[in-house]
Amino acid sequence: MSLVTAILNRENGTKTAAFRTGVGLALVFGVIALILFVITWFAVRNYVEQQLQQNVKEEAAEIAGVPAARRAQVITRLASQKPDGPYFYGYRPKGSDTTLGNLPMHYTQPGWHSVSIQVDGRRVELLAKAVDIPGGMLAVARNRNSEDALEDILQGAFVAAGLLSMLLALAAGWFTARRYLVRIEQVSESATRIADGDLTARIQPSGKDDEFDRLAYALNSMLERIQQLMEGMRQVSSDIAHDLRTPLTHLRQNLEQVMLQGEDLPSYQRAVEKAVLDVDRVLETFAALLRIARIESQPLRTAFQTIDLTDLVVTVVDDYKPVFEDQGRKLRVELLPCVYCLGDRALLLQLLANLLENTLNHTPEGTPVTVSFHIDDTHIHLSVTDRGPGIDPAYHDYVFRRFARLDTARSMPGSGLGMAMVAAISERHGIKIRLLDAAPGLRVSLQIPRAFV
Amino acid sequence: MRAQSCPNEHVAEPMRILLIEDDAETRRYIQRGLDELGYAVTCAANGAEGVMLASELEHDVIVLDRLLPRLDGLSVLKALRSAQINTPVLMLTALAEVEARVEGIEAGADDYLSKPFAFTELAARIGALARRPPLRDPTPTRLRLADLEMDLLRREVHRGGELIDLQPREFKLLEYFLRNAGRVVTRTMLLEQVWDYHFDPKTSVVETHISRLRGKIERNFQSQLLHTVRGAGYCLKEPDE
Repeated sequence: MSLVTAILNRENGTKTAAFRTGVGLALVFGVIALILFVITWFAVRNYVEQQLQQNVKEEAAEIAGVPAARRAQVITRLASQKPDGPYFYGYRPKGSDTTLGNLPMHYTQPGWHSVSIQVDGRRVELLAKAVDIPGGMLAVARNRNSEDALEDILQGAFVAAGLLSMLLALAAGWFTARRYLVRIEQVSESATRIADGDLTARIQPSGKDDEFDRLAYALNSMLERIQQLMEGMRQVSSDIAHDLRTPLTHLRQNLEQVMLQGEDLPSYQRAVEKAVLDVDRVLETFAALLRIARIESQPLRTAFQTIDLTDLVVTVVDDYKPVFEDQGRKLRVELLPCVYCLGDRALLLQLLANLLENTLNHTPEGTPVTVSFHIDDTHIHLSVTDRGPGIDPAYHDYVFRRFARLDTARSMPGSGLGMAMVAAISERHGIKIRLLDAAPGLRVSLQIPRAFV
Repeated sequence: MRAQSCPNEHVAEPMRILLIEDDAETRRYIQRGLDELGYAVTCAANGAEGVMLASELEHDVIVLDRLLPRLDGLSVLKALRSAQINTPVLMLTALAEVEARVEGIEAGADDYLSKPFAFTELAARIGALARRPPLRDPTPTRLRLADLEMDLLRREVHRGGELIDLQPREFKLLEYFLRNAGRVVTRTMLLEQVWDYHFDPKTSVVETHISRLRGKIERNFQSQLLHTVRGAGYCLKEPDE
């Protein structure tokens, strides 16, 4: 019982799932042992009873075969030779009231009878068979000692086996459950650590590559994603704060200056106009951020329709062509007719416009730009290629971040949100976007899932 | 804030505007500005009051905030339309997204403006709604201003009898100006109506097209038709105005 004590002595030992599992298993094993015992008990009892009947029947047949003249003598001798059994004999000649032998015969009908007699002051249970034979009635009985002994053995064996198996089940259940629950405990400890703010906490896989390891991997990758998102958010928050501080600082300086030094109405007017521009820039940044957030948070593919991409590209290119021409640039298109995709027209317009504006803002005047696409069975590969200075491959991922401004582009106009918007729109449309070195220049390649009409 | 220099700001009978806006500061700001432009402004601070005022008095334009206490903007709009009050409605909202906009237009709004906005933008849009003729020929085939004439069926533009060759976008741009002749049209209005761009391009797409259009309709002619309204937008108007 030291195991049970050990379990019970554990702090809250009885409240653990391990303990409950152990107890449950022990009960199941106990019930199994009981059922086994009942079945075995009946089967064995039945068998022993049959054996007993068989023995008695054979003995009775043998005695019945003794010639009538010697019958009384044989029975008297057998009874006196072994007065304690196991066989007991009785003979009652026809018409007589007295019974010979050591088996009392208080019945008159032939057949099976249960009899109990006193031998040396002990009560003995017998199974007796009475048969009619010529000249009287013969009875042979055998004691049930062997049957009782067997039952005792059976009972003892099953009680011992049952208790032992229950104990083993309790222990096995507790240990097995404990082994698994320890690992669940680890998961819950990690979760608690994360809830307490330690986002770097991870669940240690055991290396056995079992279900628990797979759970650990799944949870770890979820945590990884959460951590990324949280870091992204932190990054964005600090970027916003940083990015907005500049125009707000300008605004403050401008207003302070006019407050201290403003002399006439025109100087105030100029200051106010400048202030409105500064505020507009801040508001624009907010609007763009909100828009990106909205695009990212919208459920996938709501309000999507089939879009004639060729038509859309031509529309945007036509809109921007004059702007390109005014800057001495060539804007070329190489298109295929009637290529379709699923999407939100307004967003795709913005995506293309942003890409074209990027080339306008980040390449020197005169730089030619080409918009082209080719298709395969599943995708449209649309690329916008410029012959400008290009972007160092190390920064290819960086440019899609909010407020991403490459050092080379610090002096250029723009909020640093254009490509973040492009990334958000692409993500929403299942478009894979890559930056490639066009040697020289930059190629933005969009892999757009095709739709067929 | 300066009043715009486009004509028709001072008409004999002032335009009546119903402003339904819950934020007191915004309400004061809009009311003061519209007063200055010579509009007669009635204010309501919540939806229920707005519906009541709209059904009791006649207005030329209703400016309706989308998010209102008691009865929100969309419900107000639906209530008005189901009561056969067909006054043009300009919806104001902090929700700039295209879907929110579509929702508003579907509920019966005539225009949609997202906060924060420049007052000139609001004034231009109210102007465009207020002066919309009540029973305008829904499908005119010709638009005309001075000696400039647009044939919508043949997709041709003439000035002084001379054929002017326009690109499709320039044609659409001029058509919009002609339909809104005499009114101030903002850059955002052009982007939304002519380009169907619901974002703000960071480059001079609009300006470039305007300058090309100007070149085509004005270069060889004496009088200027398309005017830039400083701080507000553009206005196509008769030369003698």
